[in-house]
Amino acid sequence: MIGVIDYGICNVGSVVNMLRRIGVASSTICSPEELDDFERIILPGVGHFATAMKNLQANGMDTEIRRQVLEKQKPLLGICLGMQLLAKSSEEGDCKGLGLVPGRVVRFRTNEMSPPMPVPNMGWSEVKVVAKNPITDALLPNSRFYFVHSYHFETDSADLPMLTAHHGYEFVAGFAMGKILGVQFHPEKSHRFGAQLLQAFSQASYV
Amino acid sequence: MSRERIIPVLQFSKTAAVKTRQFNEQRYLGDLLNAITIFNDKEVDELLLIDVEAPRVGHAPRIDYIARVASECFVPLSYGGGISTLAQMEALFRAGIEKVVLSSCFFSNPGLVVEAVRTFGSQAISICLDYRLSGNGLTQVRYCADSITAPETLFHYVIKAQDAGAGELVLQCINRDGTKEGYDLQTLRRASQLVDIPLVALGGAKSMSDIAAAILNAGCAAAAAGSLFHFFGRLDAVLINVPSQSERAAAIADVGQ
Repeated sequence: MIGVIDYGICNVGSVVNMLRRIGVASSTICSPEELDDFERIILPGVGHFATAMKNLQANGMDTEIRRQVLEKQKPLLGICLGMQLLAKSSEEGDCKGLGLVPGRVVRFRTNEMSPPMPVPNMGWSEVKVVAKNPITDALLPNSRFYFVHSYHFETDSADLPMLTAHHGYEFVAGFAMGKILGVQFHPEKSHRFGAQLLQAFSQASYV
Repeated sequence: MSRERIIPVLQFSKTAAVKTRQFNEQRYLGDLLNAITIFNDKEVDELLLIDVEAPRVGHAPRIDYIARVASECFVPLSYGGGISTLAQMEALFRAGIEKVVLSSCFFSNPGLVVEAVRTFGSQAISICLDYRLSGNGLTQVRYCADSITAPETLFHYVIKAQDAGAGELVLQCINRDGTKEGYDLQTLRRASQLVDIPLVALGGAKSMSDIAAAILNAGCAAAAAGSLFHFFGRLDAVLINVPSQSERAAAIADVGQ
């Protein structure tokens, strides 16, 4: 059973709908105590980094997510802003994140783009697999995903990125650190390509 | 590599998918849920849902119904029509909408747009500017279901929408709506030179070449259309049709030359 964290400003509806469509049992979680009942966790997200962190902190959800992942070793998938929140910090609102993975979130640097591209990055993009794991192995050939974001994850760790995409320059579209996963795109809105990824997350065994 | 975005537009009134012509003459297309399911099966890039009744009658977004529609949608879904509060936007996101499309409130309550951007992020906020072309080549911006004329020119509001923090701007030419006369490329081109945010062309597309022209020649990030995807053949029979991956690649390559 997957718990989808609902912290006020996010697209829980879409994620739950997609999971239902692919036959994966899930439920939304509003309070930290409920997290104990779930084997896997999805942290979705749309919106502003600092607002999201404030909402997670308001009921202690931030501490509980860290405990579930670090102590109880539960698989966690962050989606879009949910992925960014796993980082140490973000330029958006100059704010600290959950700090589960080494890295930071930065705004697209338009001056480094060639050619310059509009920000936010909104649209479908193919991704490149840069590190293999059960999730990337499951992806369909020529998978494309839907992206909507102005900020992206950045890291000095060479092992962390699993997928990259291109928007003016190459950026991290997905990372994996053990059971902690993040994707910048929206699998719940990327029809069969996203369905495949969520299916893989729901089934991946980590031994 | 980012792909061009092609966005079918679904106008609706109550539970019926409809298509307007120059914002009038609604033609009934069928059940909206059914149409959504078909567009999903065809794996479109995203869908834009517009409640054409909401601004006319003055009702708020019908959240429960929209949630039901969104639950059948596994591609990105934007919604516009009658949005006037932050609480409505939050309810829409919760219902499974990715982007809200604001129109009238951009004029009547500009502070709300700024607040929405701050709360939900610019990527979740689109602004739609509806405009009429007058004979002398001027643009007239209209809002509140085409009942009020805004005081400034379209280009003034294009810049203002970007300044307000909108993540995307839909430019809809009312004269072209439902006419299949092609996009108003001249206006789109000029607007795209004024701002950096993604522009979406809407109104008049008759073919994939029009779509390609809006993106490749007029600087739009995306092209949206209704009639093109709803009607088929010389007699405009109601039949949802979406170009295949190879058809769209061919159209883009043709115009790109």
